[in-house]
Amino acid sequence: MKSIKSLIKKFTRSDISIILRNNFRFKEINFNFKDFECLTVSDCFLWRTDNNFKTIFKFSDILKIFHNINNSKVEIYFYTKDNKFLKKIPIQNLGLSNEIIIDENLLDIKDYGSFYIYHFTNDQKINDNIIANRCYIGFSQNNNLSSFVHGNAFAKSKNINSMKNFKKDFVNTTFFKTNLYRIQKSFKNYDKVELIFSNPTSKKLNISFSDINFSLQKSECRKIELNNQNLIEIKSNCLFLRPTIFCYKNNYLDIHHS
Amino acid sequence: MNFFFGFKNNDYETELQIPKFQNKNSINKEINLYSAKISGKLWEINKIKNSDEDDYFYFIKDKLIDNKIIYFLAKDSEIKKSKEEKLIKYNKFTETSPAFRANFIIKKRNGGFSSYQSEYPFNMTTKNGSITSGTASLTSKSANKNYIIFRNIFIEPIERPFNIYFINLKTNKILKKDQFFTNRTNIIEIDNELLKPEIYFVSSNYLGVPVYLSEKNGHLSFEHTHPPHEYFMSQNKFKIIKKFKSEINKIIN
Repeated sequence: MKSIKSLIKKFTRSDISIILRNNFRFKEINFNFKDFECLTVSDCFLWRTDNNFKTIFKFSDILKIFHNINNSKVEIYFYTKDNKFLKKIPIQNLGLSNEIIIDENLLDIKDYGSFYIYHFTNDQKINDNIIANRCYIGFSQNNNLSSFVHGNAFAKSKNINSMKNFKKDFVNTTFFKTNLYRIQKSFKNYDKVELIFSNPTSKKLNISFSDINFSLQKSECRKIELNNQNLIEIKSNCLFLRPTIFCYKNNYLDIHHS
Repeated sequence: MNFFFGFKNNDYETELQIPKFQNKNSINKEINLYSAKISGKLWEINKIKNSDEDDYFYFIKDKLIDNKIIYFLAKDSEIKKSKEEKLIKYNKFTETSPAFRANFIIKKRNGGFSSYQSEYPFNMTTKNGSITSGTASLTSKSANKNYIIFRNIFIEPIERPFNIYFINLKTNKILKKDQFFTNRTNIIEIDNELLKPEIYFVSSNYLGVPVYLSEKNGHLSFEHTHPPHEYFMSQNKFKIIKKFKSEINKIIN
């Protein structure tokens, strides 16, 4: 009896079972972290330098704070909204909490896109770990106070020791556009609302809402503007797709993840 | 099951938008809005009839918000008694993935606004423990004011003081000590000298959600920090966090 139970458990957690569950909408599994180790996972963070925006990125030295590992380093990789590589910034001599300002001077472009952060160390004592620094991003327009949001979706990863890319996706997708996500906020009474979608996967995502249909290739971003809409219902082939939201009213701005 | 809370203060107005729908499913028309507040030694449960609402949301405006009352969704048939000795997990309607959340908006009187997607899971109400949160993560030294708004909801109807600390992780010293209360939305202003990478906010004995509010020239930023376990996706995450918290406990005890 015990072995039958164990076999069933093994099957329900197998890759084929997860594909079936997700595509037939039965107890869906949004994320896949099984059997991985020694990984530094990054969210798909958003940067903006368009429309007088600058982006403040805050991250902590989680290897020092939680594992007392000194002399670790991070690398931050910047991409355009079309997933073209812009630049890499390596940072050593980390503080417990660190901050970088992402503006036109840094990236030499007025636009928006995504970036990823990875922590590296030669220390072998964390080789059974999967770390994911969720970090905080502040968006400041016209040099006003930054409005902060936290990280939103696991996207890419590398090996913590060897720094090699790890190619698997963490957010699951389905064959068809069967996944509904209703944002749990009313969007009435704003002057303008912008949603910025980032594709956290290596698959092509098909997305539709409010009579808008579009696709996002691997790791691409897209900004969509809306006006005076109460409910936003997003249909896609991704099981975890939450846009970053910019709500404007009377010269003030609110930014949050959805 | 999730609870939702607001914040009351002379300088700010708050509003909650509680959805009537799960983020992957349609509206549940049997669900109604209820509140719980401490009355003597019991939780008093009330159906809310005077909030604004439309087809999709309950809009709980400032006049219905105070620092003690909490809100939740339930079917009328699930509410058996109007007074309870402990908070009850009435249903699983708000147990979803992604998490079921309400939009918690804070507005500066005659100024700007900011919001985050907010929830307080029932499971957190049943536990004691401590919360740690880096003060530099979501604040701005250039802001006119920075605050931590800290909400605790505890299963028992008690309003008990507990200690909170600002500690320096490099020197292992306590820099400031104060008192918050259970079952309340507490607020503390953070002095600029406490906004450093090595300084952490710590609650003792009681859990809660630390939300950071910053204000500059009427513009606001409002967001919560991640609990430390969100930094680890591996099986050993609770072991790592236990070790980290035991180091923190050595400092505050």
